[in-house]
Amino acid sequence: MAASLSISRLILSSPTQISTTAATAKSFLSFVPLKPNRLSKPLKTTTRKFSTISATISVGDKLPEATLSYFDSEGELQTTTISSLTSGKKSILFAVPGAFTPTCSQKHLPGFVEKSAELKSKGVDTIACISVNDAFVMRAWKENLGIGDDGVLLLSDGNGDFTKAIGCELDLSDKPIGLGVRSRRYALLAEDGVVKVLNLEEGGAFTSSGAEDMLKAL
Amino acid sequence: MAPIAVGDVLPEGKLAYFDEQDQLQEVSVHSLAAGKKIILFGVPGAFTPTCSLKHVPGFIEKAEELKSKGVAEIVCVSVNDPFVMKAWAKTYPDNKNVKFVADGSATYTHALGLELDLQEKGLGTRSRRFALLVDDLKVKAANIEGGGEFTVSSADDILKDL
Repeated sequence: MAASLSISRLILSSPTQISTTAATAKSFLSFVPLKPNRLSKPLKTTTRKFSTISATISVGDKLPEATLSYFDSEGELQTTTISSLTSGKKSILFAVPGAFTPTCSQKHLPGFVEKSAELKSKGVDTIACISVNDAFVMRAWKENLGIGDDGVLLLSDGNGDFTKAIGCELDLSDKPIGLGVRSRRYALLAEDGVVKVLNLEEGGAFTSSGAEDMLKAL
Repeated sequence: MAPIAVGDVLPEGKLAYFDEQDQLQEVSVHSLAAGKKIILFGVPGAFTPTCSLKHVPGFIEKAEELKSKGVAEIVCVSVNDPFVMKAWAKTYPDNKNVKFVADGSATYTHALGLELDLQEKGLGTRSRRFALLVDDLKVKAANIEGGGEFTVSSADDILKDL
């Protein structure tokens, strides 16, 4: 039996059940792992999805692979990957806690839309906005803000997989508002998938993750 | 939780919405439904095609007729956050009667036993499509779809139960 029973995956059956930050999650790993020879069959993972508990991403790290979704201009659901967005390119990925929320809608996203041409003139190939919202909501948000197809891509990290993989979850489940687990606000510059600049906010604060800050970093 | 059924008492729960002054409010289901006839209908997702183009418009269209038959409240619930529900409600500027409320963490959907697992589609846990007619907290009609289909849960269907 493969000794690959390392308990390195958090139990997730729905986004709202995530209740630990990366730091607390790491403490789960400090208990003695199950010994392989005590089990007669492998752990069943039929209804539970496991994902790696990750430290928060930092400068110098390679971005983990993940799939994000969006609706194209013909209304077809498409997926893209972190590697196709970032390999061999200069890419800016920025994340918002929620589509249609005030700071995200009025400041963070519009800032990048406004500066997209300038950012591209400085060699940025891809600018993408990521949120833990489904692709339908991302599309409606894009239309609501009148954002065209060139400039900033609006991508859905619907199950929060990429957000968790880079350790940037923001747990808003205990608020009465019912937002579940979202992403912390951030903006990062990656070259060939390696993080060169990372402006990560504590939660949804908006102090260093704007387009202007990214421009200065280029 | 077994799915809610005719004869059951509508469970208590809290749903959220932004009021006309853009203040976040929480409403208790019982305070909304006690002593009245209400329709509570659920959709898998704001801004999704069937929900947006058929289910919701059907209720908006038939609202006056439903009200003339004694329905005091028509409430649309979805597992979306209140910001999204507010934005979605704005896409129906002629709507005067249907209230859009958020069950952001799917708590109330669980209480009704109507969860729909759409993780494969990147939507997480949502609600099955349904329409309930509730009279003073007692469920009189429960038109529940298997998933997101639209066969029994329309406004026209529930009109027949009134």
